[in-house]
Amino acid sequence: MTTPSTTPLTLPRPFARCIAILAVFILSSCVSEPTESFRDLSVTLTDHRGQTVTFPDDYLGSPMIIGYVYTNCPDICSLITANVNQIEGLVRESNPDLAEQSSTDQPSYILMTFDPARDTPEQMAKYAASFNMADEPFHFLTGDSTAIQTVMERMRVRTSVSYDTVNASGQRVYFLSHSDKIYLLDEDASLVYEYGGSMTTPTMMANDLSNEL
Amino acid sequence: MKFFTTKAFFALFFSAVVLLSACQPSDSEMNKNPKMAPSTPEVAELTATITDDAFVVDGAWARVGMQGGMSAAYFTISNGLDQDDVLLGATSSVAQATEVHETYDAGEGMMGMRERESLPIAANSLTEFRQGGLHVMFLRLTEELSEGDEVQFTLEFENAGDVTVTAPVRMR
Repeated sequence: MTTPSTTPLTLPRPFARCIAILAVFILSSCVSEPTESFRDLSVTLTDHRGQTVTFPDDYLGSPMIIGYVYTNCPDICSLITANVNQIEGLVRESNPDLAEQSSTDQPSYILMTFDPARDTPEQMAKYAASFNMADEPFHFLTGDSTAIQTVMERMRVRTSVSYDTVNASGQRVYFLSHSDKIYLLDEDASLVYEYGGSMTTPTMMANDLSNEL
Repeated sequence: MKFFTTKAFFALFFSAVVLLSACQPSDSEMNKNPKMAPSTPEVAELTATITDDAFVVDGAWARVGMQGGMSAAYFTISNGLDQDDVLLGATSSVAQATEVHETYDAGEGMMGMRERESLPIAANSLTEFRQGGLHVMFLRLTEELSEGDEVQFTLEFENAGDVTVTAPVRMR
């Protein structure tokens, strides 16, 4: 007759028992969330150079920083744009090897509008130039309203008209309440981090991007 | 009560350490998805102090902007007087309209903007106009504002009268 203590099913040894119990409770609480991928979006947009692009397809192969803005916004969106500009500078400084790599291996720094009605490619080009961001690796993207809506819904960027008036010249002036976001996507367009776009330090975002290189 | 022997205790402790260390996120990963922002934006350090018996607008700068587009100016109003004041509005020649605005948390992760038509400036107070908060907004710039430029604008106060401010143009 076997004693219960030698039967694993009825009385596990203390160490094994502890491992089993703790494994269930601890590991179940720290399993990684499934990665959110935007790879299948494949939406046709236009960049500030007037080129038709497919997002994210044309930017795959290297990490992407994406800020969501509209150019008629002087405060938060300008800060988001300036932050993306600063991230690029910080990443370039801390990764001198990047300069020797081909352009397809460079991270992409994207500012995408959620106000396509006013933000034409020409408007985006002027906006980019005013921030000295007209050249690679910066990409200011707009598109038709359906395409932009598709991207914004999928990327959880929300907007609503918050201030709507007609100025002395009879022109409609409106502003948007909007999500304040910058995303870091990996080379396969999967979400790595979602940041508060205006409030997160560029240093933190640059470090996170460097870790993806 | 064999389960609570010393051996069992150490086994429990050891296994907890091993398992917890296996799933402890790194410093960077701790902020993962959504990564919450620090509570304050990365802005110029707040070095302004109240100047006794003086009403001063200091530390002004304005954002780059395209012609026909928008820009904003930031500064500090130091009211060292014993009298409350009110900022009634702003004017400039660089834009079709110049207004006092405020960015605010519109809830559910959204940021909104609204006009502040008369802003109380308390006696012996500092009022910061800064990114993500109060700003003087230039609507439809009549000229491009580039780094190195300067813009002038005038703040109209109920008691202090008109205060003209010169602000260098910067990206941030």
